[in-house]
Amino acid sequence: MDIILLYLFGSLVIGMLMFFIKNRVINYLLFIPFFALQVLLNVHEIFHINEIEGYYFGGDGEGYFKADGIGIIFLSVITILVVPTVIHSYWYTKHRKETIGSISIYNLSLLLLISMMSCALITRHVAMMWAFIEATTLAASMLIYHERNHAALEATWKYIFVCSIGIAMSFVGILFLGIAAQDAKSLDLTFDALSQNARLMDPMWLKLTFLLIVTGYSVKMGLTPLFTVDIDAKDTAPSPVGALLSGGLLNVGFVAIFRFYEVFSKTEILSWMNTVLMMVGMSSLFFATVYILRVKNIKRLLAYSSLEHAGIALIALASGGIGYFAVIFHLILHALAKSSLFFQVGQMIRVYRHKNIDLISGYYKVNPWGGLVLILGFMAVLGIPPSGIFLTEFYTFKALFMAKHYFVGLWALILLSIIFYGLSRDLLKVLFGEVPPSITHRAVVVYPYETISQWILLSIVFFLGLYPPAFLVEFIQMAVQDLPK
Amino acid sequence: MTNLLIIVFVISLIYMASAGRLLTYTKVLFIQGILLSFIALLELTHDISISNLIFIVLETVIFKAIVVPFYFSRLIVKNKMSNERNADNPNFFAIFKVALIIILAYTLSYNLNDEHLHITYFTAAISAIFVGLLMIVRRKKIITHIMGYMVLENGIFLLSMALGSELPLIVNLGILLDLFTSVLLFGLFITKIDELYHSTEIDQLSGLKD
Repeated sequence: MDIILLYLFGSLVIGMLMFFIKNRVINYLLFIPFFALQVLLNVHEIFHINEIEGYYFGGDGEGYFKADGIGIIFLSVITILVVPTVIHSYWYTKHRKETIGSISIYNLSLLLLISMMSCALITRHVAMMWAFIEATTLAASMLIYHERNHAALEATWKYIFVCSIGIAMSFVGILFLGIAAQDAKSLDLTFDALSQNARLMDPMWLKLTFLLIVTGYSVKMGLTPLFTVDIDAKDTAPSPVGALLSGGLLNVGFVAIFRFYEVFSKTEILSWMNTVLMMVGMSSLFFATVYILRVKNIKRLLAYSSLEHAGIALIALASGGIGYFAVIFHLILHALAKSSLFFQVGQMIRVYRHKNIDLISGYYKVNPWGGLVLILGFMAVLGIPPSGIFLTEFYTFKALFMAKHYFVGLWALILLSIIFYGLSRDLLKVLFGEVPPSITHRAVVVYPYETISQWILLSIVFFLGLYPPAFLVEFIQMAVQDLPK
Repeated sequence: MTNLLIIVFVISLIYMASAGRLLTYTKVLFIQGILLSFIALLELTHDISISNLIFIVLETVIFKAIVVPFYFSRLIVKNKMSNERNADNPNFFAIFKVALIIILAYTLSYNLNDEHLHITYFTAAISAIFVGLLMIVRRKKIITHIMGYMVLENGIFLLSMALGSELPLIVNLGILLDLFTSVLLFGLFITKIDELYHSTEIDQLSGLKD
């Protein structure tokens, strides 16, 4: 029995059932078999690591799927995020008293987004990965449109259109790679074949490919140049979706860029690629800093913080050495911390009915448990010890200085300090201060149990920072073993 | 013969860039779809397996030449969309811009001087991609942006033929499914935008900013 085929068809069937069964309870219960499929896929891939699977429709004897270290790591992150996302989506729709019609479309799109992201992580064919990533755009656009107001429509339109253009650009990159592959007398566009033949290819085509790939997939990872639609999407989408975009889709975009980087790192363009990644990373960090200082919308603040972390990830990757380890570890921790912040901020917006931080204050008094989650979550993303992100940022700077990028390192430190100031200023404003009078009149019901999933995710972040387990370190080392030393 | 078809394709790009009526765009898209299917039929006959060839030709005829142009012309008529008017950027200059793009694309592909590169294909493909982008950047109406996207996709299709390689059938299917769904979603959302804003000018969509 082919588990991947079972997973794809199973998700499709469950999705169809969600669309057609107009019963609230059954609609949510259908996530149980889906979660079972997700866990089955994840466990199966862990036990079949680096095995080629999925020989369908001839395909010249080439399997389309192979889960390697990096694929399994981020697949597991998505699997961890499935349950909290579904639970928070349930609360979200319940409090907004939504109709079953919009709930069923939401659930179907959520399921498709999760399954397409999972498949994009474990495929080994360049164009297959492209197709899965484009499919995430379509699923995500229905989720961004969920609230069906002016802002949602605008964000959805921009997201789907700019994503389509970006993804089309990366397809041009894939075609250029095909031209380059003809030098190697092989038209096999699997990552394995490409990394074997990369040395025979014309560096000029590889450079063009890499530029187009980084530009195209920057829309998924949320980097310069195409990050703006990503910010709008995370802002207007329901908070649980924002969590999944920051915690899942960002990593999928990174894996897409990483796989090409890995293939091309065997050629002479390695140092050129590092320069490109460094420039993209630094400019992302710069834009994040500028906007974090001036935005007033709490969800956009979180989205810009994701931009910052995506930038740090690329800088770490470009510096090499211990930076390779740091980047993977960093993105795991960021996914867990940022998604718990999105879940909590969603609840906060429900209480204040506003996203503007000028109108939000005294959250700690209104909801002490939630306030504590916010404090810990911001500690985690700001890299305050004992958060694991402190460790990974420390490694990133170590790698930067060891690679003699003193100037970049200094600038990144200055920008990070400004971000630290900007985010903590806004956090203190939101947490403490006077509770607005409108809140005390309103019967605000906040249940402490709604913070359980955030506590679990954040405790994983802090635990991993203090005691990274041996199997995780092994997986990360497996993910980066093919990169140049 | 193929070269002739490609030249007609490039002429259709110039015509499209200078046109202002929305229904003209859909007609040009129809013509481009037909041209591309003939080019695919002529060029790929010897290169790829018969099943893949049938799939690609049918895909081009049905999807690029029939479904998309007719879907959009229906949308234009149904939503009573007005034509593209832009005093700052007369269509007359668009011809020069497109001509410049074509010359640059030709110079680029000539200078690349790669043995695997078919210069005619590459020039036409790169020109179509940039004309598509030009339409997206310079025009004001959302529907014209979608047309620009379709021109860009046509350019990419031509580029993939310049490559001459065959992607496996299942990958082709996935790509087609994605494109088809995105066009459907484009149509869906443009109708929503029309309902909500009573206009389909891109300037309306400026609410989200920092």
